[in-house]
Amino acid sequence: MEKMKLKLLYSDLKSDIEIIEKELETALNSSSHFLNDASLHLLKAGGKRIRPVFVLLAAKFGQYDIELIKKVAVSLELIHMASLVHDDVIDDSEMRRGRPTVKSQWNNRVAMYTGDFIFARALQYITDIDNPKAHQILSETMVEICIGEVIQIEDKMQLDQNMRDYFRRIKRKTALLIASSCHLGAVVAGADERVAIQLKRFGYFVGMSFQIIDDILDLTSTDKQLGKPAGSDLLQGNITLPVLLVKDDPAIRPLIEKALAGTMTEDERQEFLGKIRTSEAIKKAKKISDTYLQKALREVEALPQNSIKKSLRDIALYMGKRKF
Amino acid sequence: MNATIIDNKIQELQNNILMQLHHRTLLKYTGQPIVENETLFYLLLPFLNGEIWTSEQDEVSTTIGIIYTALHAHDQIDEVDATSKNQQLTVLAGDFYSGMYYQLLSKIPNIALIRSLSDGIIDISEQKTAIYEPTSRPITDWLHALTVIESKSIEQFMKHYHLDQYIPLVQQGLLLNRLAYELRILQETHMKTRIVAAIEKSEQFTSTKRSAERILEELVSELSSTFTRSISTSPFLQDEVKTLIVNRMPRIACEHQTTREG
Repeated sequence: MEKMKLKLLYSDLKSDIEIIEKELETALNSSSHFLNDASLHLLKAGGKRIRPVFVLLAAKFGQYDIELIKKVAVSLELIHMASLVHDDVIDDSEMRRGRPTVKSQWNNRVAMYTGDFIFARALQYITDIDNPKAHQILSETMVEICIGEVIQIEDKMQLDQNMRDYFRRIKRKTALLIASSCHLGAVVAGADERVAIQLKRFGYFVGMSFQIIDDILDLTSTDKQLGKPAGSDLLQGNITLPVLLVKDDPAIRPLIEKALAGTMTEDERQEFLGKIRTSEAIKKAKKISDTYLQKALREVEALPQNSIKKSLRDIALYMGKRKF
Repeated sequence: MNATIIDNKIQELQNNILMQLHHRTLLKYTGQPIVENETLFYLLLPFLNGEIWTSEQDEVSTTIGIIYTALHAHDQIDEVDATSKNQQLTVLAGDFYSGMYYQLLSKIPNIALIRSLSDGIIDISEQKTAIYEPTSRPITDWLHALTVIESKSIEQFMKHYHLDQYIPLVQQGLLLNRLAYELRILQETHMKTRIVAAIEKSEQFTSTKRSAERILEELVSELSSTFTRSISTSPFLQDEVKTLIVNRMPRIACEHQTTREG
């Protein structure tokens, strides 16, 4: 339902999104049966295609040429897909978007090679863009994202961290790729440099807001909605914003420690979820997400007049206000 | 160029690679990135043979070495359980190294080479995955797969800089190293790696029923002879480089060559 809502928001781009879907299918084609199956499996699992949408919208502020800009959009979505395949190995995930992961259907090694294959395809696509600046933006983003993931593993199970650690982590985990999607769309379309930077900042703020909401939903949604137990982030040792906001509450801290120690029972998980849902933490986290959202909207306001501004605003609002 | 100068040049390249990939946490949990000296030797072969070698080629050879470390990191992931911190960070190390090679080439900038190396990595990933497919293949397919896995990135580099005449030597040399390595592991541990098991399975396409060890011995022997011939008859290799290559051939290959030919 939520995905449908989002698709309605970018209905103006429908035909271009379809071009990108087709291109993704072509890009994932391989002479290896295994890679073909694994990649198509990923494609069928779908996704919101948020990054391609931001690339296209940002490109509307320059010389919009779908034949050129689709290379960037496809490339960014492929990089996102490749990272998901590798993340499933790191997180030992059996399911993603209601389907078995590549690592669970085949094995970890096949997942590694599938990710490497998709990543190389992404670079193959983007090299049709003969603009060194675009490559510098993308490569720097990729390196930063990896460093972010390394930090995430380092920070796992560590309760003695602060909000700055959390923001630094989600910036690299989520916000950077969305910021780069906007930035690259504008740069490749030849938009004014100032506009390109504004769009990059917009993407960054939306990404931050989006990730905070994602972390809230992990605690407030039902197991059924999530397709995994609510509170999975904490059970896996990832300390998110709402948890950081309640970690010093003596009524909740022992439960958090149990979750991190891997000794939390089902009853205790329910108790923890009940307590955190009624605490101030969720409200405070939503407020922080909203602050980022407002900053994103201010960036939109500052952009030159363009009919696309409404789409950017609507999508930002959707991402920052989604209920699931 | 004597052996010491060559070793120093390889060491310099090795150091450049390690410097580019230095990351405190990765170093702590996954150790130094691994790149084989023999791979670097073949990557530097044209330089060692006196070809014109620009500062860009020097820089690019570092990125080729980084690609090998990236792909090697992902080869270290356990098929079933990668939940330890070391394994999780090895996954990320491989991704980080891949990002680094892309970033270095973007800064040069050499977009055409990024394209060509990506083509190569696609080919390598396809061949690596083929080993996991249930279908049997003839031995020539596996030799092709190993050739791609071992030498494709260097091939792309050589093609890009019009050093194509070195490609057959790189292919033979690195394939021989890999087969000799597989033979040594099999003899020492009596364990068959996936590729060795796949090669043994290829026997069903022949009338012979050789053991994996026998097949590998014969392959190493044949390839040693072919490679030695390629080196000695090469019209462009300097004599001292010819000697260097022969001296660097894996000992196990020399032994089998002597046994067979002697």
